[in-house]
Amino acid sequence: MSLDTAAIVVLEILNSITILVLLALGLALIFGMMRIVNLAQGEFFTAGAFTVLTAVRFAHLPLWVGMLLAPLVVAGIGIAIERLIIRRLYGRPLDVMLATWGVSLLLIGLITVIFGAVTQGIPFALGNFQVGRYSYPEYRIVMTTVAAGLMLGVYVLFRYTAFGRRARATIANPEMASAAGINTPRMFMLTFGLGAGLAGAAGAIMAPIVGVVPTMGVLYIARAFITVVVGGPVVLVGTLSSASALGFIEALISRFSLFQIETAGHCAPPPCAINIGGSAFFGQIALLIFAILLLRLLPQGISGFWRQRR
Amino acid sequence: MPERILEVASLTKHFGGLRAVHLDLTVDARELRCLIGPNGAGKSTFFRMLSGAMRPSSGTVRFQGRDITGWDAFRIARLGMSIKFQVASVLEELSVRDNLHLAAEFRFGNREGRRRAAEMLEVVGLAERAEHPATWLSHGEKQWLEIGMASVGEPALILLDEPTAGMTAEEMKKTVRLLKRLNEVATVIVVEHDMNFIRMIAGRVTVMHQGEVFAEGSMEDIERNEGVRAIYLGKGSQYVVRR
Amino acid sequence: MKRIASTETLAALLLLVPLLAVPWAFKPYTANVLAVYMIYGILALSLTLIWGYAGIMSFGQTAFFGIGAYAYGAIGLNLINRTQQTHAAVLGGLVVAAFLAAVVGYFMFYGRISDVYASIITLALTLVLFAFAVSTGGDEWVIGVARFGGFNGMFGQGESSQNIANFQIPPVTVWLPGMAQPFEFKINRESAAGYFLVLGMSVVMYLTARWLLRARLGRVAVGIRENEARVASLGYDTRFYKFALFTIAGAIAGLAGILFAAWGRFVNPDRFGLGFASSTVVYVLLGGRTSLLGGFVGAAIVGYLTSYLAEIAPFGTIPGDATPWARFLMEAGRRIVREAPLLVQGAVLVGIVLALEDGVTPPLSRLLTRYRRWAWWLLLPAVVFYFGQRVACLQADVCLF
Repeated sequence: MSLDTAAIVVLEILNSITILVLLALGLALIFGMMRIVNLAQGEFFTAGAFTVLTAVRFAHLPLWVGMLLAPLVVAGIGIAIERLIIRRLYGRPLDVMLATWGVSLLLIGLITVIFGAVTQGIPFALGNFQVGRYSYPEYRIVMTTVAAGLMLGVYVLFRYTAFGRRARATIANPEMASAAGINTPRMFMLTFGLGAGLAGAAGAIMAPIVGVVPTMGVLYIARAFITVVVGGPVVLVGTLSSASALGFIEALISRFSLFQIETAGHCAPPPCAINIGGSAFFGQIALLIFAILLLRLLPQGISGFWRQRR
Repeated sequence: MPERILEVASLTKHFGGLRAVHLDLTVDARELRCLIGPNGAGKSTFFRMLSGAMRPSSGTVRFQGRDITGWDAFRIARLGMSIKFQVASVLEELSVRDNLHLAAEFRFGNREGRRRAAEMLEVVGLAERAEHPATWLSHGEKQWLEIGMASVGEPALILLDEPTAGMTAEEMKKTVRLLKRLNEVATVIVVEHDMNFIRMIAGRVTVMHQGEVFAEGSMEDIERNEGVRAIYLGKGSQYVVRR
Repeated sequence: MKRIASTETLAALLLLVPLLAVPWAFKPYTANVLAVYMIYGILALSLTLIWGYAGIMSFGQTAFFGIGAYAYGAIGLNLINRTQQTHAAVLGGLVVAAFLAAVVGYFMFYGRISDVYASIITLALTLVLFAFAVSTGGDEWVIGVARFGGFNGMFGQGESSQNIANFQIPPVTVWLPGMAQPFEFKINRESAAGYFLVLGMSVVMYLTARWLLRARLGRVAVGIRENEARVASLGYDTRFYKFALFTIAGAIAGLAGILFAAWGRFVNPDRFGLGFASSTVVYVLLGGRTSLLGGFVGAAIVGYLTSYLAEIAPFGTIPGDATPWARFLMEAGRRIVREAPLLVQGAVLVGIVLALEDGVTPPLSRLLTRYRRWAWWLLLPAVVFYFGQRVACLQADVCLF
């Protein structure tokens, strides 16, 4: 493998990891901190993308303003949903899952009613840069930077602020926290809003490179959940480590064809063969299989495994 | 010399940096052993490690001469050790009879299990409530049902974690009779807080404190022991040997 | 006990009498629609088994449904022109679905991942299979003569490249030794055999599930739902029981998939999709997750509502002289109705979780138990009379109304 090919493969792995981090961060926060599975997270992502679309297309705002608005709008939606529905279901994890699935369907329906079931694009101005013989989109580097920034932000927020201390106390022991005067329902609400906002930010960042369509969340939700499950209970370490492991596999399998299976179809031109590997779809399959194997070995996820070892 | 049914050597459990349990203990076959100690002494953690619900950090458990350290709960149960948990955990939506049937079935099969379940209903005095879902039982009745579930499979060793919690004096007497009856065929280890109950069943007593065995002897010995009294009065720290 | 048993008999009669009469009492269209409700009911039954009884939520029962359907299709398309029957296709569909469930179940339950993780893995599984099925549009995606067909679904392709004559997935076709010619289970003007196949399979699966739950497996399953650690401490290897029940449920879902592919004579990636996965959960939730009949009831209610909502197309033409506001409202109404299936499902999920936890079947059966006498003497005769009349009317033109 020549040097530029190696560089491009590294960049693609980095991009896969970036996308998984963006998708999983908010979800991991909600799951890790509140122990609830939010199946509407994919639609928060969608809502972020549509906020950008609305801002750019209909309000004629600059792209970056839309991208800053998106997490705020989606955090608001998240807080409303927490207040209306999830609050009544704490302590019933399965019911939360079902209710958020219902919310997910309602949101898809609602967004379709408003915007229609068509795929829309968001234009943006960044170009490509050269890596030897290859060109590579500059925007992907921006995405990686933003993802790293979001992780750093979450770290600082939980580590060094009063909100973070209260949130961690609430997570560690809700009863003791409320005895110490912490308004725990409010902490849960804010945590959920923060998780939703992060999904909104992810949707906003990714909106320019994907088709914006009401069902877009569904395409990403599976990978987001797998990343969270493999990551395990420690939010940041888990998300980063599992996104790295899974992103590595996904990018490699997406890039390289492993082998071919000849088939009896009528191809023009012949011969007919299925390439295993070498497409984004096989990357996803590999990601799922790898995740299931990994969970067989580390049922608590990667970060759970390390915590146990300590 | 009686056969040793249970030998526990340097059994240790760490939670993070905290050492919750570190103890050695042997129990003879057919013994009725009481395990006492203040809250947080590690009694329940110890039971959970014995029954396989929790993996020990280090140390060994030998049961009937076999090393069962770190086995799955169901394999330990099949070997003949059964447990009644501290919080009554009957299967609320199954009937009282089905609870006992399920407990007997894995050992005796369907038909014989059903017969044994019916017998046990009489023993624990729940025959009239056989078809009720277990969730309808009173607190004391649930405890008896659990004791029945723990003993219907004819285990060699029964672990009972606080069998009389929340019982009236009358109910407690009935429980004592039940325990003595079980002890005729099986080894029993009981964790209790209630000293009256311990006196009534009059077995050998092991006192746990801060995860370790603090004293062992008959109830009279224990009651005379200054250190034990100090623990229960909350001044035990000076007697604890720190390692 | 006796009371409950006779209510069950009554409920069975109230359901079976109309269902048996349908092919003679209505046009084939009705039999076709009811058959697909029952197929979805079998799928829902498989979810009820593991969710309602063992407490393991599988969002991805549709994965086993879809894989069963595709396997039946692939094998059936290859066999039908050679052997004139589809025995091996039915068997193959069952085996493939059960095998997939066993593999996934092994990794989930023997890996001791928590129940929440298990739900997510099953959901991811069906969504990845969806992505897979969609990406198989190309000419190279064939098994023998069976083309996967990507979005358009599976079909058979003629043997030679010059003469590509496409054909559909065959119906369940039986040709046993001693039969003069193969017998096809179809639903049309001439025959209702396909309908009775589905009805028969529904009854068989319902009875099988009941039998399973009365045996040890059922008691252990309920025990696992209630308190898994307790059941393990009684000496049961709960992982094995979960694994076994999950595999059985996978096979039942696979059977539903086989019947579906044979019924519609096609299968497309939608069977793996999120919409179908959520429908299945809604059927069970609406019908009642602890009632084996619940899935069938839920499937019928949702199916009927959905097709009813699809038929009403409001504001077909928006008048040109409408004010902008009226125009806006009409357009909004039209769009809402178009998205109704999704909105209804979402509302049902949220509503039932928040309000009506047991679904509709348990209250219905309580009502039936309460007014059992009336039901025996009035409702059942009324049902028999109505359907008898329908049969007489359609078959012999003896119509009272």
